[in-house]
Amino acid sequence: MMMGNLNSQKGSSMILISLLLVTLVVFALLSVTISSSELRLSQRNADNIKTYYLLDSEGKRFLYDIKSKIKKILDFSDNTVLFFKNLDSLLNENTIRSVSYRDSVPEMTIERTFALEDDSRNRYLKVKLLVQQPNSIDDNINDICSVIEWRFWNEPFELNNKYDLWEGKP
Amino acid sequence: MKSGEKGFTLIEIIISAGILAVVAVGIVSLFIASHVSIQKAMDLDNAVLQINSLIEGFQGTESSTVKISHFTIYYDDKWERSTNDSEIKYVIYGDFKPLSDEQKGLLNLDLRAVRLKPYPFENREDHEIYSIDVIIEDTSYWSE
Repeated sequence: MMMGNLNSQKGSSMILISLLLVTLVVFALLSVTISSSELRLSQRNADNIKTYYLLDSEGKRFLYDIKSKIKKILDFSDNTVLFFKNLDSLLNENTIRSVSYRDSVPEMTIERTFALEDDSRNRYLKVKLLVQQPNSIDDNINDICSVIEWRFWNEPFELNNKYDLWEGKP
Repeated sequence: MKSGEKGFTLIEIIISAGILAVVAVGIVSLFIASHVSIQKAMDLDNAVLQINSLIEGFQGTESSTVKISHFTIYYDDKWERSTNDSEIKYVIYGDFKPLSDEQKGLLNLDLRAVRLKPYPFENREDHEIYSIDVIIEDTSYWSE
């Protein structure tokens, strides 16, 4: 036995206690590290959700703003032919819009992208609305203006093109 | 200990016990700090979960359901709704406010999750875990 080869066993308890203490300290430090990283992760998740709702609120304000403008036009003019012209004049310069025709009936697409920096990365919300020409001034605004895109995304999503991938062409 | 003598002197025992006590206190405080951090992380996760479900419940709501301006929801230590005063450990306060006179179809919902009892070795009661301000759309507004 190893202990039998030692001249004295007086230091063995000291070695055992030292090992026990070192083990306990290592476990305590590991526990603190893991729990603090857990707390950081939870905090980050909470911040992400807060940013999401902040962007969502901005989108809602924008949607409300457009609907208010439509209501204003319908309240002050019963000429639905000039509807898009009036709407265009009320829209902000930063608002992207385009008019297209479906079955010779005009419709306007309005879009806005909101950006917010969260934890040193950008998050975006893209809102795209479809405004259809009202048939009469009594039409419901929810039927005239509908949401066709409400999309959140993080940092500009870029495809990595540095790899020479086969694109399916011979 | 002098050579040839068996056992320890009182001074040696006191010193070694003192050293062990100091080290033990350090180790225990590390474990307590870790326990508090985990508890805070769990509280934050649960508060976010509960608040999210409340927000989603109110989204697209009609004006009749948001006639209330304030509400308070009580939870026990497992984040289950409770009305028993002795079990209540967490509270979520909700506050509805109209955004402005020009934006009558939008409502501001302010939500705050609070822990009523202090964390171990912390004196502060009513610890705010999480708070958020969101805009809720009153879907009936444009139908009127």
